[in-house]
Order: sequence, then structure tokens, then C-alpha cells
Amino acid sequence: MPFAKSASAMTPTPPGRSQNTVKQRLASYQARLVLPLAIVIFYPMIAFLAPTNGRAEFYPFFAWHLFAKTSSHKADVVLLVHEIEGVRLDGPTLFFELRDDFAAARGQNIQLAKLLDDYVFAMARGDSETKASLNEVIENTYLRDRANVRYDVAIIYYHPIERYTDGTITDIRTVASNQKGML
Amino acid sequence: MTPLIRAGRRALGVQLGAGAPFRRITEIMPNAERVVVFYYAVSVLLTARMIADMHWLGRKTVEWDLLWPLAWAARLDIPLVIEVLSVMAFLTSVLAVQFHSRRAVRLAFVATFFLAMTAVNSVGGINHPYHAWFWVGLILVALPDGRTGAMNRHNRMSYLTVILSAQAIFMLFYTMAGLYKVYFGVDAIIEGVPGNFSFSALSWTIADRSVQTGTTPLLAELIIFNPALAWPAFISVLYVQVFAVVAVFRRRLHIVWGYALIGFHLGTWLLMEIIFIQHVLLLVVLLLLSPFAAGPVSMRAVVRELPLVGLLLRPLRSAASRPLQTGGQLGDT
Repeated sequence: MPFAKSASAMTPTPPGRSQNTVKQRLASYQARLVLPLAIVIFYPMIAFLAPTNGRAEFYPFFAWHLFAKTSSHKADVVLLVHEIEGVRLDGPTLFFELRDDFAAARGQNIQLAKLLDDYVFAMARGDSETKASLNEVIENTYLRDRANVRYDVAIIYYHPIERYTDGTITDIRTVASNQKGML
Repeated sequence: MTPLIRAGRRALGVQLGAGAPFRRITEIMPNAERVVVFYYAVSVLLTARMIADMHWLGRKTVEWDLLWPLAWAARLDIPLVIEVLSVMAFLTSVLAVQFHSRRAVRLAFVATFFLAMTAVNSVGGINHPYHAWFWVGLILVALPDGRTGAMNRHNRMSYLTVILSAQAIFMLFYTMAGLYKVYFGVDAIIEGVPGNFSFSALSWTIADRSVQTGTTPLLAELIIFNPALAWPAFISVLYVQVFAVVAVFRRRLHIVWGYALIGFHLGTWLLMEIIFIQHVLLLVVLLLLSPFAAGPVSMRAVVRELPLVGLLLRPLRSAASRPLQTGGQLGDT
């Protein structure tokens, strides 16, 4: 335990002070001494190993795997919109490009990307309950500005710098085709 | 147990004896209390912003994906619940500024803050701006009660240990983030595929983030097309992140690591338009204002303390000092 040596340098018990109280204080201090060590050991263990129940993390523990992995070949789960209010778009269009149709697209909220990751994980696990719940969030929160929308949840593959430069997407794999409202 | 503790101390570079953080307990207690007061004072600012954020979140969100701490709210008027929670978090933060010496108040703050931050993350997908703030708040609940001026030595040492723990958990988050990058980088090298240690790794990350969010950060293009600028910066960030938790136990590094990580957050804004303002504030409160931070120290002393670098320099230092200690060798040169 760090700083244990300092504990031994404690002032002697003044006459009249209960030995018991001093012991309690010492015990209280020693309990706190364990705190930094316990944090460094147990927090990562819980963050890495605790069951996530279909989520990306065991809230409020988080493994801090932010931008942990990069490569020249990236994949991203996206919403591809095909049709809005019965009008077919020129081609499958990324949700974030439809700023005139959806207020949420103007916000560029990265939470949608995380939600879509959870959606694909739920599908892979066969967890239809989580999938249905996330589907409602997609349609009633992100797509709320339009009553009738036909869209896909898809994984796109690309080289990040090529996509940045000219928008090139090398491959698209549709994982779910959904419809909000009547088209 | 003792040899194990000694080995742990040596590994972390914990300074005891003359340089020990607890050597001048009475002297550093006011600085430790300042950390706590500042934490709650800044909490007032964050929770005040939360009130407005919750108001708009409640209005725009139709479908909720409530996380477990807020599952009980499913049967209630959720927008109303989260507005009430944010107001409660604000009020308890204000109380905690004045009554930070009372555990009940600190506990009330962290409980209401936790519920309020859960609401932000109950719309599908979890963001992490408030996680560290919450965990530090939770650790501070363990502070001993009572006025610091009237505390006995045990309680003062307990107080400082809790502050150290708050620093440790916060820096642990950076270490975890760094270790993940190293792990995947090494994995890519083993697999023989492009990865985190590739020359263009940071350029790919920045370009990817930019196309994902449609943002155009100020320096993004410069780094995307000039990976030679990016690589040294990325490796430096990795070093600072991986050894962040070690720096907590080396008080001469507190200020250096504070500035380095604030620089990192400034960089993520300039390159990716991500700014963890809450983390920057925590770095100011916990590291730049660290009660354990050494006073003025020489650059040489800081370099000696640097994890890994200090270790690598040790043989050179010994070699340099040896001829002076053994006069016979001077004649050999």
C-alpha cells in the first residue's frame, strides 16, 4: 500500500484518549489506503469483464476504448434512406446527408452511430427485443420529422482518406431493411 | 506482503521519505481542500448547463432507451423526471460547494448527478462526457467528514488518500485508452495488416471521423494529407496516455501530465472537433491544482521521473558519474 510508512509515523496517543478511538481512526485510514489500489485493479476488471446485457458497456463502467483501432480499411454502420413520403430518392442516401429532411441529421450526433452498432450487435445475438427497442428510437427520434420513410441499416466499407477525398465507398452490406409508416 | 508492496512502489516510482507527498500534511491540506471546493464549484457550472440540455432533450426525444438507473422512470412522465433530476443535481452541487465537508451532501450530489447523466445517455448509444466527473464525485464521497482545519492526523491522511484516489481513477481512464491503442496496434503488426502504429494511422482516424460526422475540423486536412506531422504527435499521445496512472504516483509529473493531457484535448478539438470539456476541467482541478505537485523542479528532475525514459537514462547517468567517483578511470580518457 502506498504511503503506509507515513501511517507508522502517527502522533502518539495523548493521555486520556481512548485506545479504541485511535484504532478506529487507524482502521478508517487503512481502509482508505486500499482505495487507490482497489480502483486500479477492480475498475478495469469490471469494465472489461462485466456482462453488458446487449449494450456496448456495463454502465457506468466504461473500458475507454475510444478510437482504439484504426486501419486503412474501415467499416461503419449507417442508415441508408431510399424513400421519403413516397418519393424515391436518386439513390440510397446516408442519413446525415439529409439535413433538409431530418433535424437530427443536422446535429451530426455520434450517438446514432453508437446506437446502430448496438443494433447490429443485437441482430448478431438474435436479441429481437433490443433490436425492436432500438428500432423505435431510430424511427421515433432520429426519423421523427417524416411519417413515411423506407430505409436500410447497412454496413459500409471504405478507405477513410479516399472517402474523405471523393466520397468513395467500396462496398455496402445491408443488414436490415425497414419501413416507417405507410409508403 | 511487504516485499510485494515495495516492488509495487518501485514499479510506480512512489516517493517516500524526504520527497513523500504526506511529508508536509498540514501545509498541503488547504490545497487539498481547494481541489474539493473547485470540483463542486465547477459542478455548479456543469449542472446548470444540464438543466437547459435536459429541457431540450425532453422536448425532442419521443422514444427513450432508458438505462438501468432510470428504468423506474418508464412509467412516469420522462421529460418531467429528467428536468427535475437536473434541477436537483444543480441544487445539490450548489450545496456541496458550501457543505463539502458533509458526506450526506456529497452523496446527494453524486446520486442526483448520476441519474441526470444517465438521462443524457438514455436515447440510444452512450456518450462519455460525464463518466469521469461522476467517478471522481463518487470517490470524493469517501472523504472524512468535518472541517479540515480541525482534523486529526489520521483524518488528514485519509483526506489526502481520497484525493490521490480521485486522481488515480481519472488517470486510469487515460491509461486504459492508451493500452487499448497499443494492444490493437501490436495486434495489427502481428497480423501484418495496417493498424495503429502505421505511419498514416492518425490520418485515417481523422479522415474517418470527419466523414462520419460531416465536420471539418480546423487542422484536419493538414494532418490527413501530411502523416509525417501526425505520427510523432500520435506516438507522444500514446506515451502520455499509457503512463498517466504512473504519473499520479510521481508528484513531479502532475503538472507536466496535466498540461500534456490538456494539450491532447485541444488537439482532439482541432483535429476531430471532439472536446471533452469536463475532462479538461478535471485536469485543471486534479492535476494542475494537485496538492501533491512538487514546487519548482528542474527539467532534469522531470526527465528523470518520466516513466520508461527515466529508466532508459539511468545507465547513462551512472556511466557519466562513475569516472568522477573513481579517479583512476579519469586517466584512461
